[in-house]
Amino acid sequence: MSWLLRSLADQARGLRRGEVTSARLVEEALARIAALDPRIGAFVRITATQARAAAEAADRRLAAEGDGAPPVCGIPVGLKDVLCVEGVETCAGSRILQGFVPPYTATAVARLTAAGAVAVGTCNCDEFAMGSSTENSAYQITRNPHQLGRVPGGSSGGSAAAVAAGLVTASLGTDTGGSIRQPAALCGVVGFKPTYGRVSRFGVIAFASSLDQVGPLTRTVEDAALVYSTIAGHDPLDATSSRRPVDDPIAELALGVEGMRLGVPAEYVDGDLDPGVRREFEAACGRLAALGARIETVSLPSTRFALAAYYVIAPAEASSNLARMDGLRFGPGAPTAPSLRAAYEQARHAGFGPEVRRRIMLGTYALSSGYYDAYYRRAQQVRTLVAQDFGRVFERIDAILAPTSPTPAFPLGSRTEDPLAMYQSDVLTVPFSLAGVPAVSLPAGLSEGLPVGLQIATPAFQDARCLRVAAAFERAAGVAAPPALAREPVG
Amino acid sequence: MTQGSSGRRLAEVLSQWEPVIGLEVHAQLLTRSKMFCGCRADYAGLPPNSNTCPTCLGLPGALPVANAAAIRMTVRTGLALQSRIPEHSKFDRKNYFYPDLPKGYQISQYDLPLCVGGWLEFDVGGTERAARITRVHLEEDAGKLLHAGEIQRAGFSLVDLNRAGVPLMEVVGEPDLRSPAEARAYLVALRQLLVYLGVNDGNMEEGSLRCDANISLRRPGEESLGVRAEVKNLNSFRILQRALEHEVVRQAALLESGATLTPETRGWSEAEAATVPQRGKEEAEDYRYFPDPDLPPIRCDPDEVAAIRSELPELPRARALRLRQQHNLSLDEARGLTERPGEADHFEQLVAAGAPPATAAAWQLNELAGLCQRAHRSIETSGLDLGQLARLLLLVQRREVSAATAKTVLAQALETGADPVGLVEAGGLRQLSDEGELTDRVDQAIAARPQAARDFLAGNDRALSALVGHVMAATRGRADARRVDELLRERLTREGGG
Amino acid sequence: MPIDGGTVRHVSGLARLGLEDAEVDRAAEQLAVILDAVDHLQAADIRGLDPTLRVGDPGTPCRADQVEPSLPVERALAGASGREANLLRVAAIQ
Repeated sequence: MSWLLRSLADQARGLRRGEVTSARLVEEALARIAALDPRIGAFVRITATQARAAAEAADRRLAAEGDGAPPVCGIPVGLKDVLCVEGVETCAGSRILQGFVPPYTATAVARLTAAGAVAVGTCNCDEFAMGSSTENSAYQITRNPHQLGRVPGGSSGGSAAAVAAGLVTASLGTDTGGSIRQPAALCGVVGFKPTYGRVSRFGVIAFASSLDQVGPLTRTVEDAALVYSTIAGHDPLDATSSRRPVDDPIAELALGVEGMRLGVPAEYVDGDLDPGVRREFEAACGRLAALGARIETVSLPSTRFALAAYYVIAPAEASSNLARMDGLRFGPGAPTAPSLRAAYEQARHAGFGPEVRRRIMLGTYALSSGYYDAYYRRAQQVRTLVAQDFGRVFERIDAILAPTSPTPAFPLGSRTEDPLAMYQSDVLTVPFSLAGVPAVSLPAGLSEGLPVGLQIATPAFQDARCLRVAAAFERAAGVAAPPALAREPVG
Repeated sequence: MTQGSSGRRLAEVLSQWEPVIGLEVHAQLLTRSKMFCGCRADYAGLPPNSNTCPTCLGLPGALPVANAAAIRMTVRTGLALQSRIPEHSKFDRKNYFYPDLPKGYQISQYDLPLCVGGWLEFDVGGTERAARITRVHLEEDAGKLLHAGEIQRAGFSLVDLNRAGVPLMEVVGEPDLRSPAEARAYLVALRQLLVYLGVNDGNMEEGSLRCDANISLRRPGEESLGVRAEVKNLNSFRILQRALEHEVVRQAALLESGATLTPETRGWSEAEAATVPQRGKEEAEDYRYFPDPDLPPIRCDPDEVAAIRSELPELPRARALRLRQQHNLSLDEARGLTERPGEADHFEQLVAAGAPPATAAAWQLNELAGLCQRAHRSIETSGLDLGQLARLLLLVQRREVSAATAKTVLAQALETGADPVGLVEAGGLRQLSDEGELTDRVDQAIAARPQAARDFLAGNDRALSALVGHVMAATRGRADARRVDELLRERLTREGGG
Repeated sequence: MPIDGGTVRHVSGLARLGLEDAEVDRAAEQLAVILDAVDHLQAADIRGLDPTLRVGDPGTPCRADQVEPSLPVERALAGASGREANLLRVAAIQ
């Protein structure tokens, strides 16, 4: 089996035992990308030269530090196209940032590469992280490695597909309303959204500032914990980043769930779920019960308002965050426009895709005079309601269980004409984003051959507990098998 | 006030209409770094676009973090203005598109400013007034558009973002001002306060202190407000007053002709000596204010606020009052000496070095001020040794040195750095004030100029100066001229009368 | 709730999206559909609730007043679509 289909933890052991080198891992990653990515489209940019140089440096470091080297040292990773990397074109899946080469690197990425991880390339995503299928990327579509006619989910579809297909060992994505968890579920990998404020947003091209979080997509829960531990922690460049000391998920991974109280929100399972999703979810609950956890039904009455609140708050913040995309200081712009106003309008009309324009309009409307109270302010009050519901439930419950997505991966093109249908993909992930609590999705079986994800959420700053519950489930259910495509021999 | 026929017209209007004026003053804060990033706040003279970073450039992914010193300076200002400092405050985004605004929004404060209410005391032509403050809040400055007028005709504008992100404190006044002169006096007092607090350098020409005015007219006795005009970018006291005077006359003419005013924005045109409408906007801008999600709310801890309050420097009015009381100065003298904190420091140090207060006050305000100005220096940077200056002033007070002599040696001291008292001694320039010798000289002068003496007694007061002159010449300028004058008058009238 | 073309143009104008005439109707339709869906927010009982200004913890609102190195002008202006020496050049503001 290709090294790249092994877990990060396995690769790390192999590197320290001299069974493999970072250079070899990176060459394999590049070879697999060359062979398989033309069919998947996970990567929009490959940084092979930089990757090879970084691999060499990682190998020297491993030789010098051995077990003392950080766990991610030498490991090939992919970075979502919203994470700024100095000197590397970063476009957020948008034409309006074509040619934008940031003069700085996102803190989360810097921490990862400072620990020796090797960035191999940039992963495709929905434009400005707005979408649930990666079909909104201005550059290319990404296909689900399990079934190429289906979406990988979004907005971090490229990051999820890259890990699912074993093109890289791990990737970083961002999650605003489910953009790490949902593609992880649809691609059959682990995707973790830490507590809001746990990972720096500096250098992350902003979608919705009060919701965006950077997180790992990996093959196993332990891998996710290793990446999380590398990137989490206070950043003085991000005023919203927490000063609280970072917890230690690795230390808690093996503790199990015996005696834990796990809650299933009635409102989530009473809704429309694909029968396969429902079946796998119930089975997952059964597995956790068999491990000694107490599964109970809980109620989050505000759930029915959560999606609407999200689709007011996120576009509102985005409409303001994207105002800087004016074509004057970066991006192609409209240098021959006859007036300033025309320059703005031409640059933005040509540069933004239809979904982004839709959300900017929605957000501008929600903030505009006369509508602010009824839309934005009200949505933020509903957000308080959602947070209160979670607070109440978490007084008695250690973790919440839910399916990640109401359906497995849907066919490419099947929801692009219906924004509302697309938005519905987020209905099970959005509430956790609004509350800012940590949530993970991990593989929980298949529905007609397509991956189904189990979502686990815990109170704010209980990221370790979240991964602990996930790890317990993973031990019982086993790590998901890679898709057939990933097991094709690569020369 | 404006002279001539326009002055008369203004006076006429002011007798029939009551101006209602409120000022919005923007002050760049004297922090080291910008409001939300580490670029320099003091951008003067830096090459264009050399003072930026991803945050103030508004690059994708960059984030703001608030400057704690800027917040403290704003709280300090509010406390000096008797404002209330609410425990909770926040930053909001003001969204609009303009090339000097890289993010497409300005980070400002909307409904929870750092300081609420308060008042400013000031003096208008001898009358004490107080005008209420609405609020003091904190925001970031925009970049600069260069040569907008001329280059605009060529079809483009040039932008320098060095200034983008510099901390800007906005002091909003209630419309309590009732005349252009009052508005000017308010601004003078506010500027002085900000300089005393060390939060702003008071420089209006270079734009570190900017003023916009809102002005409307109503009939005296009316309580409702008229339709206002906003007059922007009044960058000197003179322009502020003239622009408002112009507005008063302009609005009165319109109102008297029965026209309805619409709210508008105007600017001052020096060339036309008038306010002129500014480029109209297509539609009123909807700024879509909302709390900035990148910046957590600010908590102004009451203990920290108390600490800032206890560190407030002595404010100008209090300092003037204290100097009056301590040194028996006149109101005008005290005000003059405390116009700038550096001047007040100089005066107090001079007195501490032994100068007699009354003499020190008079000399600092008059002779020393004049000499420094001619030498292109300020009082604080004169270079004169305060101990030496104090000794000289003591001699002046004791009439051991004449005022004229003192001025001469001071001018020399300023140029050469020599000790002025040393110059007096070396030149044998002490004033002749020995009564006996003066009396002799006076008698000699009367004897030598009998005609002048007779003319004086005949009622020609000016004839005395010839006699004084005779004594001064005979003593090579060293005689105490005032005492000579007194003695002459005594001798002559005694002789004449007796 | 129908959204009229005027509102769409106004909102699009505020956001400088350059919506073309042909696009206004479709945009109005789509916006109306979405607004309909979010309108049921009005049914939520939010009496007495403050808007959530932030989740997580207080973060770090302030930093010390320290100067940090700025970007060299070449890097600051590297992506500019219009330049004149070291100034950004933009079309005339009318």
